[in-house]
Amino acid sequence: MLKKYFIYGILGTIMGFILARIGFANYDEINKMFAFIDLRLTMTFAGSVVFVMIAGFIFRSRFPRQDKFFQPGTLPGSMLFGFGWAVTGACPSLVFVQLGQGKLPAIMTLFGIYLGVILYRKMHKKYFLWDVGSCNSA
Amino acid sequence: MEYWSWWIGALALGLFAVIFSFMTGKPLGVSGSWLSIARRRDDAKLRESAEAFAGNQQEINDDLMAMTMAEFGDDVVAENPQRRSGEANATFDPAATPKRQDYTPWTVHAVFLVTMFLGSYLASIYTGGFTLDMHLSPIHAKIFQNPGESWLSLLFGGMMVGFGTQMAGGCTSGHGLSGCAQLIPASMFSTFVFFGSGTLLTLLMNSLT
Repeated sequence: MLKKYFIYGILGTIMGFILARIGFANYDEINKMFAFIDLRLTMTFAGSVVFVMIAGFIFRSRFPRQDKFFQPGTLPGSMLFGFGWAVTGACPSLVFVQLGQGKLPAIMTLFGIYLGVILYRKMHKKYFLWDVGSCNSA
Repeated sequence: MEYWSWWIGALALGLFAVIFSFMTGKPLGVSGSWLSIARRRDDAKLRESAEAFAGNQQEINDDLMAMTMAEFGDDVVAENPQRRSGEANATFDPAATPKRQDYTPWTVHAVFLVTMFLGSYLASIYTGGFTLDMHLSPIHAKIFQNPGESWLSLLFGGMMVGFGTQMAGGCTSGHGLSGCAQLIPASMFSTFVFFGSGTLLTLLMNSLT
């Protein structure tokens, strides 16, 4: 069990470092990416998708499969996420990278994301009830 | 300090996602880590009740038998005497019941998220020192001019990110990176939508300032 903490800890550190060096957590860079002023981040992202695609094809027998499917929340959820990303420049991992760069206002984003996750869980239990098939949470 | 050029970034991020998948046996997905933290209490309750259930198998069998007798009369039981005390289930072994495979506790996910902060902090030091900054960035400060506005926008923006990623069932890493790389239609659609809506709002905000 301790090994698991160690593995995720190392991986988290590497991911934080990479995202910071790419500049993915910089609001200005995200703004330029969305406005098509600077395509560096777009290319970075597309390039990494292609890389993972090729690796997934080569190691297809041993590569863990992502389990995603259409559900009623896919469209509205993705739209909300896009709007939130445009306002904060942060997705659920980038907020920690922003904090690591000393951006104090990102504390509000962190707080907001946690509130949003809790709020969605509450509403989901009460009103939505469909299967969302979230990322590897178990 | 310059950021990495696109191909170095793409190689690093792609290689990281592959290494993550091999080391953890799961595709990369950060919103799942958030969910795991948000539902930590539910998980603890579920585990407790599962353990209690596994521990009282004999009692459950006896109760079931009593209910069967109440419903159908003693004759059924008399015809099958070996079933009276749940012996039909004598081979039941709690250790052999299917468990959720390699369960990852929420604390592990919390470590993953917090060490992302650490990695970014190390990157800051490596590239010329960590400094506290009261503003997110020059462009953000231009769009949301007074500090109250800026901090509130981040709170509500953050809520949209948290709510949206849970509703969509994934974020940039889960849908965008892992999902698109496997050409999953829902993931590609989701990625298209969140990049699209992000572009829309960004263009709107930039044109208003």
